Amino acid sequence: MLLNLRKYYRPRSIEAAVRLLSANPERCVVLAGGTHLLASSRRDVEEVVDISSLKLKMLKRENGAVHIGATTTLQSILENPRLVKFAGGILVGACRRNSVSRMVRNQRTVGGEICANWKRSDLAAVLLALSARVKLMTLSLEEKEMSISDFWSMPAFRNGRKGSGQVPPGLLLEIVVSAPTSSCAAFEHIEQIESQPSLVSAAAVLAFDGNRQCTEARVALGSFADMPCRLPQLESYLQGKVLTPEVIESAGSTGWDEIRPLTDAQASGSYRQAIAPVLIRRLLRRCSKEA
Amino acid sequence: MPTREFKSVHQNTRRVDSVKLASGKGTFVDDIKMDGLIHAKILHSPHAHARIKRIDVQEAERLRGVRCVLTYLNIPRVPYTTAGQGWPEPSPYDTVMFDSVVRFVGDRVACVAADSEEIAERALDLIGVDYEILPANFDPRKASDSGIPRLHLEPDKRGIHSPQRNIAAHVLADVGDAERGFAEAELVHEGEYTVHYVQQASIEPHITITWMDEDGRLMVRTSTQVPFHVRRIIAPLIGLPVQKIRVIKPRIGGGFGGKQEILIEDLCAMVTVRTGRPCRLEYTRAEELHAARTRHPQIVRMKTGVRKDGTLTAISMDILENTGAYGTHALTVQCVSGSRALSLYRFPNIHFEANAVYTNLPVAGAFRGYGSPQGFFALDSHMDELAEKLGLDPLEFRRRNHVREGEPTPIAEVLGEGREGYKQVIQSCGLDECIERGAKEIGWKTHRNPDPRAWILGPRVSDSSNAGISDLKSEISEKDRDSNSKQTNLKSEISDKDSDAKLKPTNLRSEITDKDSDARSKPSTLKSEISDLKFGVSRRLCRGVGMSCTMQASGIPGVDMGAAWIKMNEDGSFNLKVGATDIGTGADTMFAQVAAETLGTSPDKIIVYSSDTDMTPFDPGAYASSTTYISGNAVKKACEQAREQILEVAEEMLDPIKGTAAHPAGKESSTITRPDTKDLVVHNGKVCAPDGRFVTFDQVCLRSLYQEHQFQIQGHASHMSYDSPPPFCAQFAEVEVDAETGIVRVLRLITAVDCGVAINPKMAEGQIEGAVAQALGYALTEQMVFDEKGRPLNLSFKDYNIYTAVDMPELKSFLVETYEPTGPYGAKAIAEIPINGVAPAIANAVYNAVGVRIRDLPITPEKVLNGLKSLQLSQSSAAQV
Amino acid sequence: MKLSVALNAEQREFDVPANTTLLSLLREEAGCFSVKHGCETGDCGACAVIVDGRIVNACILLAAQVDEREVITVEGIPWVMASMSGAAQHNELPEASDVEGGAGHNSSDSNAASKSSFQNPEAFSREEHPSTYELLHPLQQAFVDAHAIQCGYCTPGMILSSLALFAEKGLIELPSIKRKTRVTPVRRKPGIKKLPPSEQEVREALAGNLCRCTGYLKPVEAVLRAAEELVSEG
Repeated sequence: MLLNLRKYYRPRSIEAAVRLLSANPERCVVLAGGTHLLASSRRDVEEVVDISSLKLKMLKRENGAVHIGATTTLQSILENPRLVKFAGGILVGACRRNSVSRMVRNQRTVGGEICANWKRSDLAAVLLALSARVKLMTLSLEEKEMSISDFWSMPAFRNGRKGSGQVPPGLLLEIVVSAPTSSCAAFEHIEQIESQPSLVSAAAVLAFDGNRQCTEARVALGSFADMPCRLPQLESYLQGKVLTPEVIESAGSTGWDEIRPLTDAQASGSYRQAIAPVLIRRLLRRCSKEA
Repeated sequence: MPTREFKSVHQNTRRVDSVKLASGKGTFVDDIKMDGLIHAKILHSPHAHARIKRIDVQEAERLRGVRCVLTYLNIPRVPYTTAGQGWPEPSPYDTVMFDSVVRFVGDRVACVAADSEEIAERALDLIGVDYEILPANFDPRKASDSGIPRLHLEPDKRGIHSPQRNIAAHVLADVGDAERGFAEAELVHEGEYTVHYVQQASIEPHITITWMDEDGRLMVRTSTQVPFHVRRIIAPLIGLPVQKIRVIKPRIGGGFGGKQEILIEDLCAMVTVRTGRPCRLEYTRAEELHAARTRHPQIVRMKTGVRKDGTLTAISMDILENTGAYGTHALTVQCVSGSRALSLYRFPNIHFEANAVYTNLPVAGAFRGYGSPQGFFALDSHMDELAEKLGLDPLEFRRRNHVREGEPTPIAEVLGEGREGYKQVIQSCGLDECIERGAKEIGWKTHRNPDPRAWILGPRVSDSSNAGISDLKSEISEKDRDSNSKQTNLKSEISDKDSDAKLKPTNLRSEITDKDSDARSKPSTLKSEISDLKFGVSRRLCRGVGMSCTMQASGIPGVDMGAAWIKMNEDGSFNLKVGATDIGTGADTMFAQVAAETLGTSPDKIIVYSSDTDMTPFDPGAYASSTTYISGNAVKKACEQAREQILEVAEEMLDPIKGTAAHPAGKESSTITRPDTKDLVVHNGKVCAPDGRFVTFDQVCLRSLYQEHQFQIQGHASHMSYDSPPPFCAQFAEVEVDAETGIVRVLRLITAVDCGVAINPKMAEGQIEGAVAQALGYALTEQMVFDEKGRPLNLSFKDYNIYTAVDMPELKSFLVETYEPTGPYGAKAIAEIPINGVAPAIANAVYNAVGVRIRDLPITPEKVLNGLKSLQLSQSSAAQV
Repeated sequence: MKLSVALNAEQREFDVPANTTLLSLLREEAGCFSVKHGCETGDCGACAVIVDGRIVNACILLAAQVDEREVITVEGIPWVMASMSGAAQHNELPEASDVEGGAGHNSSDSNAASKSSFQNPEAFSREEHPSTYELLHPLQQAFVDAHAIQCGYCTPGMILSSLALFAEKGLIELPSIKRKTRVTPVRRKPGIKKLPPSEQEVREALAGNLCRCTGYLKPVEAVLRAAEELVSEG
């Protein structure tokens, strides 16, 4: 129960929404789907701005990129026939992995997920690998664009919840993902049963040239550390290489000495450490099949 | 085998309540509106062990809308047990409604009742508490050590075995001479097995609504398995005599033992008594997950003596049970662990010792199986280990040694539930057939892995020769994703590619069996194979098969007693009042079937009303697998009484002169004789005479109520038993272990149960399927986890993973029907037994798959992976020598 | 705050605090007891309801979020059925002959002069006494027949999840009193053949409905049975 929630707004324009948010930045929050907000028992929330009428629920492909409106639900991504093949299906795969519950997927929005649950979200890892960029409207009604990692580096995210004294970044409008031409993408995950959150997950988008050499590599790990992260060591190792079994084998042992794995109710850090190489090898193998 | 054709029993009668439940009408506890209802909320302790130095409720009391605040300062101190058991309860009286000491994170500190849940929540925030934090212990092994805090030293607490050593309960039982038995053995094997904290997780939380009626009596409408125990146990706590309390049990959203407890009724009732207002108290899911009840974790040490030919000579079983902060069900659960595990096989010499100790962790209570899942995890793992040492097939080893019809189970006599038991002799046992059916279904001869260590020598993942498998699998998973349809293309792909790839024999076997089982399996098996192929690319998948044999009981001998009343109505229907508690199990329907069978009518003519302390006779409640066997027999006896009366009235009516029954066409009255009651037969709502004349039930009742020698046709009976015939069960699991990650996937789970005659076979199947789903969680995914301060880490279903519809493996159940002469129409019990053997069957299957023995639950991927790595290490170091 | 919600064929007005959840609104203000409380975090599905054609969890929705929207609960199924072609409605008054185990009919009393009404209850037709007859949707009937209900607490949620699945697959149409604002779940090409869901699709549709009693086997069977029936009738 949001014990102190007193006011609910459903504005019809972005300007109106931004005005409401800036009037009470510490106690007024965005309500997209609500699966995270309403499942919390936050005492700091006094007002919510329901953005479902702002027409931010959009999904389109333009020039090889996919534009996802902030309030697009995970289920609508799953149901979109044109996204099944996009980037090896990793976007769709991550949305499916997010929850086995259709109820949750019908309500949960991509925007909500990357704002409220990005640290433990497989979808966040996939978006990292897809070089996602976000478009947002600041509280001073300026439209800004930035990479998703810059987005997550903003103080409001680094210091925990809103209401911690940091001014929120604004209203998320759109996420744009792209995959370079002649690239392959894969998404792998390990869990005991399908309904359980991933113990570890990983996404990769690799671009190849005519000689099957890797020209660009983006690999992100999810559910491994306390937030999704790229693997720069691995990415530079893959640069210029052909994905032979030997390369894949040694790739599995590269790349996370500096990343501390998480211990939680599901698994220990040392287990995650042990299976991450397995996961990476599977990921790269799948990529090499796609190529 | 059933000795005659049944009309109502042994039928798949539609449940009496399913229509209203399908319509969402339910009428569960919370499905009522009451004027003036106030809501209660509990303040729980944030500390694992602390003394309340100061508690200030003034500000909370002053908040507008707050009706009362309860703490240890304004509640009389009356020690009791929350265990829903018969009197005198075999659990220690170590609990008080509120105490000045809190003993686990989640323990009660205060209770607020207010006009709304929201106001109650706010009021909780306004209660000021100063705690003196005390040292806490979370390790049962240390519970009796010096320097470890003692939890219950207060002099007014009773029934604790040894407060000075933190031992809530202790049991010692011997049959024969175990030491001598070990001396006679040719092989002695020891093992230690541990089982963990899990939760019943019924989808409906604990909920109670109480109010005072016009006569100043307290009405308690609660989600409970034990209404009569609730009434008796809360009486002294709230200062009302039993006669001033009525407990009503409406529809219940699952219990599984979690509601065999007086968890919140006392608080809700106290609020009503203090304020005069109706009060509602419902647990949140977060509260359910740490402040309700759990299964008892145990550390079980087993030592068995055996001869080389497989005969057992002795067993010693030692249990260290963690009962959490309070000792509810502590003694009886460990007794059951012992008496079940030690009754199944012929052990001529038995030594059993068990200690239940206090720790500053959530309170363990009753949970389906009640000690059996723990005991059998240990026993069935142990039996497999023994079989391996002896070089015997584990199935044969079990078959050779299990108890049979006509044989006694000596441990049952010395080990009852909390007291001495009664001599038990097995009068029905279908275990052999259970084993046979299950073994055939799983393919014991074809699907057991002959070499569990083969994976170590298998192709390394990076070998190019292995590329065959990885290419193959990735192709399949691509197709799977693209096409969205599953079956036939894939099968042919597998068989084509297989012949190309160079594979080591055992891996090949698992590929081949894929094909084989594909060919004859139903779509759902195929689904599980494909969905796991979809998971990834290139891995070592190792399959194995394991089994377990288990037993339970039917009621607590010499303790459980149930009663029933039946009366007849003028349209040939009957009102059946039973004390027994249907918690979603279908008991009401089962009673209707038993009654209909006895009376000679159909189940839809029986109106069942159950579990109301004013309106129905006594019953201990839904636990100990007693409802069919004990309460069902009471129903049968009551109906037999009523049937006698029906026959007497019918006899009068069939008198040729004075009677009112019609004469059959063409027959002279002089040729008709008055039949004797013993020649009359009830059938289809009629009483039939040998000469073909009959009277209908409504005619009989009209006459008896209104016309001649008027009386109410009715029956009443109680039933208790010194027998407790065990149901038997054999379970088989096929698993697939990913040797790279330790992930265990259960492919198939076969259960064969001997429950005597199944009164309603479909309902019995439903019990099996539900119990198995719970047991899968117990074996693999469910685990209550705590941090170093004893704080629970899983407070929602996100972190406490129970199986969903997409996680289930293929299930098959068989009802092996025997005929239990002491049961109602040959029935025994089924509700608990199917949960007992799943975890050991899976553990045994994992061992068969990869040679890793997991002796502590749950079987997490981490434990399996660690086991795999040790094996690999020891193999490579052995190779180097 | 004031809310206007189309609930089960009726336009309803409510006035509730802003932090009221949809679950709370439905149970306490609208008397829809079929919507159950099993958790507070949208994990168990016992509170599942259909909002604008989509299945969602009422415990993690604010009542305000369904202002000007359309909600269907199990209480609305008679309305769902009334809008069906009429072919697949079922009458469930357990006839003695339906139930295995024999019949016990009331027969006329040959010596009694009077035929009191209590001996002849069939004198009243369904039209005259509709409340004594239970009209079940084929899906509900399938749950009953397949023994897919044990405690029944998760059943309303499963039934609505299944109905939402059927709507998606074109086996049924979810009615609406405000077609203009309703969101169509999945755009169906006209004339497309109705396909029953596969077992995997049914399991996926029910994956958000936790059940501790049944192990899901019989509920899945029930949904498949009902789907077959709807396909064959349509």
